[in-house]
Parts: sequence; C-alpha cells; structure tokens
Amino acid sequence: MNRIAIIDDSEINLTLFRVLVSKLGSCEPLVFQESPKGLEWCSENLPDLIVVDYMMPEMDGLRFISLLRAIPGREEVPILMITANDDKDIRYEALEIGATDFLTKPVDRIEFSARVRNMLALGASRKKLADKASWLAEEVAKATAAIHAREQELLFRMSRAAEFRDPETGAHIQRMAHYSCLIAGRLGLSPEDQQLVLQAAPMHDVGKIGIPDFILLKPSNLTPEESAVMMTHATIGFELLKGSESTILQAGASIAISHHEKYDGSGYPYGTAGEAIPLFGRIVAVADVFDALTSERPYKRPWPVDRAAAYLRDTAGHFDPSCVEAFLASWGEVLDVYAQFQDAEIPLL
Amino acid sequence: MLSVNALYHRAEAIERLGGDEALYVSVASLFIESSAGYCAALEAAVRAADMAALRREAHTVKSMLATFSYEAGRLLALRLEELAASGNFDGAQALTDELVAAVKRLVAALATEGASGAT
Repeated sequence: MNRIAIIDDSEINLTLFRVLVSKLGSCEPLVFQESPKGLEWCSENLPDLIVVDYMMPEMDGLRFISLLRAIPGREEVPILMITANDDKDIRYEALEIGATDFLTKPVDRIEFSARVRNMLALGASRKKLADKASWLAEEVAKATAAIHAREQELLFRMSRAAEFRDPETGAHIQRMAHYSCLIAGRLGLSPEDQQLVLQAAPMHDVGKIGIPDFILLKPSNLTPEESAVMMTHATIGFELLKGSESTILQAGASIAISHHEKYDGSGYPYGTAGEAIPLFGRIVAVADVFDALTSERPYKRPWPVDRAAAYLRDTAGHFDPSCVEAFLASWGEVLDVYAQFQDAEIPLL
Repeated sequence: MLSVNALYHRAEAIERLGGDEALYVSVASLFIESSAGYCAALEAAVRAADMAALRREAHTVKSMLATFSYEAGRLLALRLEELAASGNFDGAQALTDELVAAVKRLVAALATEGASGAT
C-alpha cells in the first residue's frame, strides 16, 4: 500500500484529493489541513509521495518542501506541488528547492492520476536501485572479508611452515601474537594497529626457513660461527617479506628484522637502540622472549610464569620498559592466553 | 439570477473530475458549506488591510472557483490576488466586495442546481 501525504489548507481540496487517491487503488491518503502537522508526520513516517499546496497559512508549500528536504532520509521522496497556472515563478523556485513535479489547478483527475502513478513508479524504481546498491555493498564486504580471511590463513600457514622444523610449535605463534596484541592495546595503539600486530607477529621467525637443520635443531649451545648463521634469520625473514603492498606483510618484515634488537643497542642484526627500533619489533621482543621462557624445549623445562615476568622486569637494557610495563599490566589477560593456547591442535588466528 | 449554465460550466467541471458526478456533488456541497467562511476571511483581511492574508484568501477562492469552471469569478480572484501581492491597497475593498458577490452567486447557482436535482 502506497502512503500518500496530502497537505492543503482547503478542506475541499483535501476531500477532492482524498477521493482521487483512493480511486487509484493500493494507495492510502493521509490528509493534513495544517502544514506543520503534515511536516511532522512526514518526518516521523516515510511517505511514498507527498502532494502539497503552495499557498497555505503558517507555512507555505515552498517552506514545507525546503524543511522536508533537510530531513535525513527525505531527500528522495517524490513531491507534487499544487500551483495555479499563473505561478510560473513559484514553480521555478519549487523545482530549485526540491519539488519533483507539479499539478495545476483546477485539478484534473486524469492528469492527477497519471502524475501520481508515474511518480510512485519512479519512487519504487529508485528504492529498488538503492536496495540493490545496499545489497551489492554487503556482498562486496562479505567477499572482502573472505579474501582477508584467506590472506590471514595463508600467512599463518607460512609462519607454521617456518616453525615446522623448529622445536617451537603453532601454539607458540598464537601465544606470542596475542601477547603482542595485548601490549599494543595497553600502549594505546588503535584497534587497527592491534589487529595488525596480531596478524603480523606470527611471521617474526619466518627467516628460519633459511637456517640449516644442523644449526636450527642443534640440541647444545651454538658455536660463535653457528650463532652468526642463526642470527641471519632476521634479515632472511625481512628479505622474504619486504616490498609487498600488503600492510600485514610490511609489518611482518619490520618485525622480522627488528625483534632481536635490544633496547640498549646490543641486539642484532644492526645494533639499533631505543625508539629507533620499530615499535612492533619492541613489542614482539617482549612477547617472544616471555613465551620462549615459559615453553618447554628439548634443552630446558618451561619457566614458571612469575619467574619469566621477573626476568622481563629485571633485565635492564634488553627490552623497551614501556612494553614490559604494558605486558605486566595485562597480566590477567596474559594468563588467559597462556591457558588458552596450549601445545595441541589449535585454530587459526 | 444568471442561469446556471452561463455562470459556470458544470459539464466541464465534471469532466475534469473524470466524469465522477458523485465526486462533483460532494465538492459542490462542501463549497456551499464553506463559502461563508471564505467570504468572511476575505472581508476580515481587507478590513485589517492585511495584504498577505488577502492574497492568500484570494488565491484559495481562485482555485475553488476554477474547480467549477467559473471563469469570471476566477479572474476576479486573480486580480485581487495580484493587487494584494503588489501591496497596493487602492481598490482592494471594491474588488473584495465584487469577489464576495461572485462567490455568493456561485453558491446560489449550485444550491439551485442541487435543489432542482440537476446533480
């Protein structure tokens, strides 16, 4: 049922239009003799068409149209303005401010019916188009979300591939990524950046793909030469990930190259110090070391979490103090992550 | 009294309403009932020298008279509307009096039509 609002101060005209609208079929006339009341109703309810007279006391048709068009959601409602044949200037002004079409007085039933039907059809087409545009936008959003999910899955599996030969597990990647996200949140990073570090952190050791087994899997201490080779996994990871248009891979490259730098400049590969180390690298350094300490390895038992926390706190120079503080301030959530991601089959991020 | 047919065009008015004679009769009845109000509004506006109100009332009456294809009356209303729009009060009283008389003539004609069963 099409709802047609009719605003006219003349009771005779209202009666006339009410009857004419009723005769159209599938149309319900809503009549208003006072234009402010008509405007109020049209702002609270969405009519399919408005028929409005020009000359009315209190608020004339031009003012009505102007005010109606300023209401959000009422920009496209078809408006038929009723004017006399000699009101050409009024018609021009009405068109300028948003009238869709005109009816001249005296009202001709055939012309009225044709104009109203045409304008209702126009309104219906416009609505259908808007609905379709809205549906398309939803479908695009779904498709984009699916692409992002696949990208994330690919990155995670790539990170797992790098860790596969390593004694470390998929759960390690999950834990340290979530620890990193907690630190980012506590530092006040935007939700987008928190999500970014969550997605990029798993790639921190992807460069280990380039480290020979006899070094990567050596159960005893590495020789200085072997250590030097092992350290190259930072630059290897950077080389693998750099140059992409993907913000996740860009962040991954930054993390790969910087997560072994130390705050006092004694880290590797470049000995970068302080805040010259990318923030994501400083964040992941804390997360990665904490998780390494609290995980079981062939060569060591896992540390108790409190001991690992004390190590972070007491190891001057290694870590960015603000990142350590942020991590420890999230202690409850850290323990939740520790409990949630244990070394078994785990879901993707 | 002018004959019904000379004053206004009933057939044309009905044709404009898509041949709906019942609708014409409803509108005519409403006009007869409301006419005193229209005349009073015109007279009040000119008495108060309220040109905006006079313009509005003349405009309203103009469309009413056009509905019944009462062309002479419509032209009178148009002249009064334009005079009021110009802000010139000279002649407004006389023109208003003429228009009120025209409305009353139409009312009488419509009433006669109704009484005679011409509807």
